[in-house]
Amino acid sequence: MKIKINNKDCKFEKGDTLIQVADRNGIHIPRFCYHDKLSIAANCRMCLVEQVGINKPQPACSTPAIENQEYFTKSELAMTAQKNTMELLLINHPLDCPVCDQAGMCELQDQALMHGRVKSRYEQEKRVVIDHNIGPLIKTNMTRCIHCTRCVRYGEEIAGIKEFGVIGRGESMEIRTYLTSAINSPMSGNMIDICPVGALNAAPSHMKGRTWELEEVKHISSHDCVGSNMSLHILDNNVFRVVPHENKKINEVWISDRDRFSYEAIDHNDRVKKPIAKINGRHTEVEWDQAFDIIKKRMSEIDANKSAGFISANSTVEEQYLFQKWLRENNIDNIDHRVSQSNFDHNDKDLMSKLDIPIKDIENSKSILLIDSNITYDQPILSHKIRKAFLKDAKINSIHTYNYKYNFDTNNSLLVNPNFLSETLIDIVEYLSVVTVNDKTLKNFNIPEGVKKNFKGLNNNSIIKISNDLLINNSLILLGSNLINHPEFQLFKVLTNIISILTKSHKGYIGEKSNETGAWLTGCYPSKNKNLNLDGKIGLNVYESIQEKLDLYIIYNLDLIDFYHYSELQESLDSAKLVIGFQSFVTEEDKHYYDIILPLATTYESPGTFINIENEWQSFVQGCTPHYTSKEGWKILTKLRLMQSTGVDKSLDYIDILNEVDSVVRNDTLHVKNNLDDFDVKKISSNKSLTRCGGKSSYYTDNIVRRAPSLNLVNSSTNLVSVNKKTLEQNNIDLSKNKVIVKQGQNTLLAELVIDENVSDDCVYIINSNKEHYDLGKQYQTIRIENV
Amino acid sequence: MNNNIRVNELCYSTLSSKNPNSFDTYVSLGGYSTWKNIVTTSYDRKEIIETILKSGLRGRGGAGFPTGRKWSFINQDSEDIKYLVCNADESEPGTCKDRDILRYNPHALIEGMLIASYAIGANTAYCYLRGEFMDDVYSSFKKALADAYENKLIGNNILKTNINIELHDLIGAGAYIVGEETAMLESIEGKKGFPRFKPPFPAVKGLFGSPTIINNVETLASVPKIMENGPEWFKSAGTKDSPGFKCFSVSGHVNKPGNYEIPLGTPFKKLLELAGGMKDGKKIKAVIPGGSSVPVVPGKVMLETNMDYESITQAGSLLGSGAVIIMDEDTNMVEVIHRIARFYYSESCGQCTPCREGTGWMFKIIDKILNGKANLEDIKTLESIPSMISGSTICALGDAAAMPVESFIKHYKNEFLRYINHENQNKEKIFSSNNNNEFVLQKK
Amino acid sequence: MQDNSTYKISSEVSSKINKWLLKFPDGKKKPAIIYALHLIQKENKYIKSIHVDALANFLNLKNIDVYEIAAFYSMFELEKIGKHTISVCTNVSCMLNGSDEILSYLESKLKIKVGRSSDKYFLKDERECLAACCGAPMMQVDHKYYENLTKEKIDKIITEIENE
Ligand SMILES: Cc1cc2nc3c(=O)[nH]c(=O)nc-3n(C[C@H](O)[C@H](O)[C@H](O)COP(=O)(O)O)c2cc1C
Ligand code: SF4
Ligand code: FES
Repeated sequence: MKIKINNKDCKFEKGDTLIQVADRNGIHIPRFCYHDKLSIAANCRMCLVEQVGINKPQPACSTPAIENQEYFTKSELAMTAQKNTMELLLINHPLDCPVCDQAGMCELQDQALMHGRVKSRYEQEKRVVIDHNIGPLIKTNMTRCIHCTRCVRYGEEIAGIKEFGVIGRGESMEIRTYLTSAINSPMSGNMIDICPVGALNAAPSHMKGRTWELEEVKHISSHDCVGSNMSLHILDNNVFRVVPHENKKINEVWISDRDRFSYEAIDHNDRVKKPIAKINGRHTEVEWDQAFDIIKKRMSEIDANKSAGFISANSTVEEQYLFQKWLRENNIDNIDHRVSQSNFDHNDKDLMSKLDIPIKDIENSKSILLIDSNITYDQPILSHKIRKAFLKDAKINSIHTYNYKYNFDTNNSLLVNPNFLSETLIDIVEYLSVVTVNDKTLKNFNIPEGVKKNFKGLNNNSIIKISNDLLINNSLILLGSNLINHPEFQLFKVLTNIISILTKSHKGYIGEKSNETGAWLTGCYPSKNKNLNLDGKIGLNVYESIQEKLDLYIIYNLDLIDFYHYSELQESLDSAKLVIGFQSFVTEEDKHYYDIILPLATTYESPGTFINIENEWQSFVQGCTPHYTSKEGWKILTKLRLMQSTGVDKSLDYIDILNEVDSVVRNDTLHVKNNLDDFDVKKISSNKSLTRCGGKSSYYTDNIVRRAPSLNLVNSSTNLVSVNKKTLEQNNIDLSKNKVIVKQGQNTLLAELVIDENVSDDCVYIINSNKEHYDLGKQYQTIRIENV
Repeated sequence: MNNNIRVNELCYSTLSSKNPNSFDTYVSLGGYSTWKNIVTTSYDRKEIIETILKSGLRGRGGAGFPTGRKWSFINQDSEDIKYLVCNADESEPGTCKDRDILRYNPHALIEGMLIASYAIGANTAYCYLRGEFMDDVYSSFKKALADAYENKLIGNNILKTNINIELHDLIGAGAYIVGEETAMLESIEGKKGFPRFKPPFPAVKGLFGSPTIINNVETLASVPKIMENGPEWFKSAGTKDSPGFKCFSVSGHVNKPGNYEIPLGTPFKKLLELAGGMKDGKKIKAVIPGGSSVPVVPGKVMLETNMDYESITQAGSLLGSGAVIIMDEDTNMVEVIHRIARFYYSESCGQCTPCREGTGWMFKIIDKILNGKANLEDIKTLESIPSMISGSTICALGDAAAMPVESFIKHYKNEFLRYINHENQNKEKIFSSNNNNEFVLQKK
Repeated sequence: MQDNSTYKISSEVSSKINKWLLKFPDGKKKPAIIYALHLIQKENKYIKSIHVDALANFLNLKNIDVYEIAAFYSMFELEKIGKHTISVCTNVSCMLNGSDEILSYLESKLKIKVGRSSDKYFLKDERECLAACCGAPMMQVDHKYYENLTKEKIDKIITEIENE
C-alpha cells in the first residue's frame, strides 16, 4: 500500500500513522507529544499537515495512512496550522533559552526558529508554575512545561510506576507528582530525555554547562549485567552527564537512574589520587615507579602458594585477562572473582550467570517465573522487558523471600522463608516429575536421586499453579541476583536448571555484576582452564583463600564490604605480610589494611569490554583521561608483567591486548559439565531461629554507585529493619516503639523498625545500604531482635 | 394560545398528566408497549435501525448527526461486547431541556435506551448524569430506573425472554467537557475528562475499548414514540431535511422562558410568541439559537428564520442543542461575550494546545477591552485567534469557544470599539478584573 | 490538602463503593473514583490528602490517579469550606436575568466574596451553567435547585437555613 507525501510515493502498512510513514521516508514533521515508544496523545497539535480533500489540517501522529491518499507537510494549510500552534505554545512559555539546560537540544527552540513569529503578540502576563522539590535526580522548571504529557505517559506505560500526573485543567493544568512526593522509581531519569523542553532537567548537571560545549563518547554501563549502551557527555575531561545510547537489542532508548547518575562518584573523597605505600608503618604517597619497585621486591619475598588475588566482576575483560595472566605467570593460582558468594558446593555444575535467550526476546515469553528477584530495582532494563511481556498478557509468577515491588503485576506469588526456598523448588520438581511422566522427550533425563529423595508429597496450590504456567510454551525462569550470597545459591541454580529442563523453559541466572561472563571466560577463578593454555593446578577459591590466612592478598577494584566473608577477610588481611590494592576508591577504614594501593582509573576513564548476561561483547573507549595520577588497569598490569614475569619482553599496547584476548577467549565457551546424575542435595541448614535476609540497596551495589551522592540521597532513610507482625509478636517486640536493637554474634545495631508484611515469617529484613550493616554480620545467618 | 403549533407531543408528552414522571402515568399513556413488543417478538435489530433511519431523527446533543446512521456503524456481526451510553451531562450554557425530560418523562428515556441497546446489540447501557444533578433529577431518575427493574423491563431475562440488558446510572462531578462524547467515555472509565482523538471512533473502539454508541437524552427519549407511531408520524412534523419535533430551551429576555417542544421548521417568531414575547416590550437585539457554542445571530435576521437545522445554518449559525438565548436592545454584547469566553477558558480541559492557550488568550483580551485598557491592535489580535483554534483541536470545544467570539466581533464590532474609545466606562463590572491572577483556576 | 491525621474508609462507604463497582467489567477499579470521592466529600465536606490515600489504597490504585480526578472535576473541594455550598449560576441566560446582582446581594448578605468560604457558607465561584436557564436567575444550595430568584426569595432561603 502506498501514499504520497509531498509528491513522494511512500509505502506503508496497515495501521501505520502518517508520522511513522514520513519518518521512515526522511520527511520531517514537527512534533512534541509524539514519541515512538509511547502511546499517541495527539495533544500538542504541532504535527498538523494537509490531507488533500480535507480542509481541516490533520495531526500526522494520530491520523492513519489511507491507501492512495495525498498529503502535504509544508503546504500553506499545513504551515499556517503549524505556525499557529507554535505561537500558541509560546504565549505561556518563558523565553529563557540563555539560561535553559535544554537550549541547543530543545525541540521547541528548533521549531520556534522555523515557525515562530519574530515578535510575540501576547502581552498578558505569562503563566508561572511553582516548582517543588521532587528529589535529588530531577530538577524541574515547570513554567517551561508545554503539557505534552510525555513524562506522564512514560510513567504509566514504560516505567510502570506513575509518578507524574496531570493535575487541574485548562491553562492552569500542571504536571506534577502527588502532593510534593519525590520521584524514586529506578528509571525516572529517562523522563529528562523525553521532555522536549527544559522542564525536566538532570539535577546534578543542572545549569553547569551548555549542550554545544559537550563531546559525546559511547560507553557501556558497569552497574548491572545488562550492558546498557549510553553516551557520556564530556566537558573539560569530566563526565558532565550520561544519557542513553539507543541499542534496539538491549536497552532500546532507556537507561536506569543508576547508570545515568553514577558518574558523580568519579571525584568522590575516597578517590585514590596517588600511589600509596606503607613505609615504616605509615601510609605515604609515592611515585608510580617507586610503587612498582616495592611491589616487585616484596612479592618476590612471598611464596606464590601463599598468595591470592581477587578481582571485581565489574572490571573489564582486558583487565581480568591480564590480572589472571600476571598472577599465573607468577605462579599464583588462587584467583577468584566470586567474592560475594558464600558457599562453593556443586561448583562443577552449571555455574556462570547467563541468560539463554537474547534480552530482546524476554518480552515474547508467554510465562515468566521469577525466583527471588528484585528485578525492578536491581536490573531495571530487564524488568522493563518483563513489563512488556506482561503487557502482552504473559503470565508472571514469583517465588520470593520478600514481596518485592514490581512494575508489572504477578499472577501468583509465593512468599517463603529463605531457608525453605530449596524445599519449595524441590516441590516444583516433584510436581513436574508427576505431570511430565509421559513426556517422551524427557526420556533421557533423569531427576537426580539426590533430589528425589527429598520428595515429600505436595499440598501447596500456588506451587501447582506456578508449575503449570511454566509448562506453557515459551516460558522463562529467572533466578535473581539477590540470593547470590545465600549458602544454597549453587543448589538453587541446579534446581532451576532441572525445572527448566522438565518444563522446556528458557532460563537465566541473573548476575549481579556487569562482566561476570568475562571473569569466567578469562579464568578469574581457581579451576584450570585448558583454553587459556594453563597447565596450572586448581587453586583455592575466595573463601578458602581467606580461611587459609595467606601471606599475600591482592584486591582489584573491590571494597572490602563486597566480600561475603568480610569479617574473616579483615582478620586475614591483618595477619598477611603484604596486601596490595588496585583501587579507584578506598575508605579510610579499608586503607589501613593495605601496604600498597595503586590508583586505578574508573570505568569512565578507561577503555574496555564487558560481556553481558546474553554473552554480548561490548567494547568502549575511554570517556576522559584518568583523573589525578590514576592509570588504566591494563597499563598497570602490563607494566607489572613486564617487570615480574618471565618471557614478557616487550611492552604491549592496548591493541595487542585486545587481539590476544580475542584469540584466546572470544571463541571459548566454558565447557561445563551438565551431568546431574551424581548431584546430591546437601541440606545446608534448616534454620529454625530468626534469619537475617535482604539484598543490597540498588544504589549500594558497587564501589562506584555507593559513592554517587545524588543516587544515595534518593532513599535516604537507611537504617531500617523490616519484620512482619507475627514474627515481631513471637519475639515479644513492643510494636508501639519505632526502634529496635538487632544483634548478630557480638555485634549490635540500633535501627528503625518497620512493620512490614512483605517480609516472610521468621526473617529480619535489612536492605544493606551502609557499612554498619556489614559490620553487624552476614546475611542468611542467625539474628536476634530486641526491644530498646 | 397558538393552535396551529403542535406542542409537547414527544419527549414532553407526559407533561399534561398529573404525575408526569411516574411509571403508571407512562404506562397508561402507552409507554413500554414498544419495548414489550420488541422483546417478546424477537424483533429484528436491523429493522429498528431502519425505522430510526427512515424517521430522519438527528442527534439532539448538538452535532445533529443522523441517529440511525450512527447506530448502523456498529458491526452487528462482531462478537465484541458493545455499550450504549446516554449523555445526560447537559451543560451547554442555555440548555435545560434534558433536565426536564429526566424530571418529567424519565421512562421515555429508559425505554429509548433499552430499544437502542437492543438495536445495537449492547447488553450494558450507562446513563451519565452531570454531577450537579446529584440531589435533583438524579434521585428521581434512579427511582424510575428501580421501577423499571421491578417490572422486569430491564435486567436479567427481561419479561422471561432470555434477553439481558443492564442499565446503570452514573454521576459526574462537574466538568463541561465531559459532555463531549469521548471525554464522557474517559470519565466513565474513571479518568479525567480528556477527549480522545478520532479515529478510532467510539462505534469502533469506545468504552473499555469496545464498540459504543453515545446519544443525547432527547435523542433517546424520542425513540419509543417513533417506534410506536412509525417514522411517517414523526416526519409529519418538521421539514424535509429536519423532520420531527425538537425541544427548545428559550431563555433570556422573554416573558415566559421555558422548554418548548415544537416541530422543526417552526418560524422563530412563533417560538418567541410561545415564550411570551420580549420582556418589558423591548426590541430584540440578538439571539444565540443553539447554546453558547454557536454564533450569535442579529435579532432582525432571526425574526425571518425558521427553527430547523438548514435555516439556522443559512442564518449564519447552528441549531446546536436547541438552547435559544434571546437578548434585548439594552444588552451589552461585550459583557455577554466576556461571560461566554470566561466559560470556555474555565472549562477547557487543557489537553491540547490551541484550546488551552487560545481560550485564555481570547478571554484575557476581552477582559482588557471591557476594562477600557485595550487598543485597536488588541481587537485585531482577538479577531485572528478564533481561526487559530478552529479545526485544529482534538474535540469541538475549541470550535465552540472560537465561533462565538468570531461572530460577536463580526456583528457588534462597534461595541468593542466603543470600549477602546472609552465611551462606556461607568458600568459596574463584577467579574472583569485587571489582575489576571484572580482567574487562576487551579484548586490550590 | 495535606494533613497528618488518619482516615479509614467507613464500612458503609466501602460497601457502597463495592456495590458501585458491580456496574463495570470485572477488575476495573478506576470507574469508582468519582463516585467514591462524592461519598467521601459528603462525609467530610472536602477532600484531604488522607482521603485520597485511603481511597487509592482501598481501590488498589496510585494516589496520583485519585488526585488527578479530585483536581479535575470542579465539584470536588480540596480546601476547607463552610457547611453549606451556594452556587449562583452566572452564565449567559442567568446573567441576562440579573444573576450578577443576585450574587452581589449574597456576597453582602453573607459577608463573603464569591469563591470564599465562611464557617457556615461557601459561595462557590460557579463557572458552569447549571441547566436551569429557563428559571434564571437560579442557584443551587447544597445541590438543591432554587429558580427565579429575587432578593426576597434569597432572604427566605437563608432564613430557612439559619433556622435549621
Ligand atoms: C464541548 C462539548 C460539550 C458537549 N456537551 C454535550 C452535552 O452536555 N450533552 C449532550 O448531549 N451532548 C453534548 N455534546 C455533544 C456530544 O459530543 C455528542 O455529540 C452527543 O452526545 C451525541 O449524541 P446525539 O447524536 O444524540 O446528539 C458536547 C460536545 C462538545 C464538543
Ligand atoms: S514536563 Fe516536559 S515531558 Fe512532561 S508534560 Fe511538560 S513538557 Fe512534556
Ligand atoms: S505530535 Fe501530533 S499532536 Fe503532538
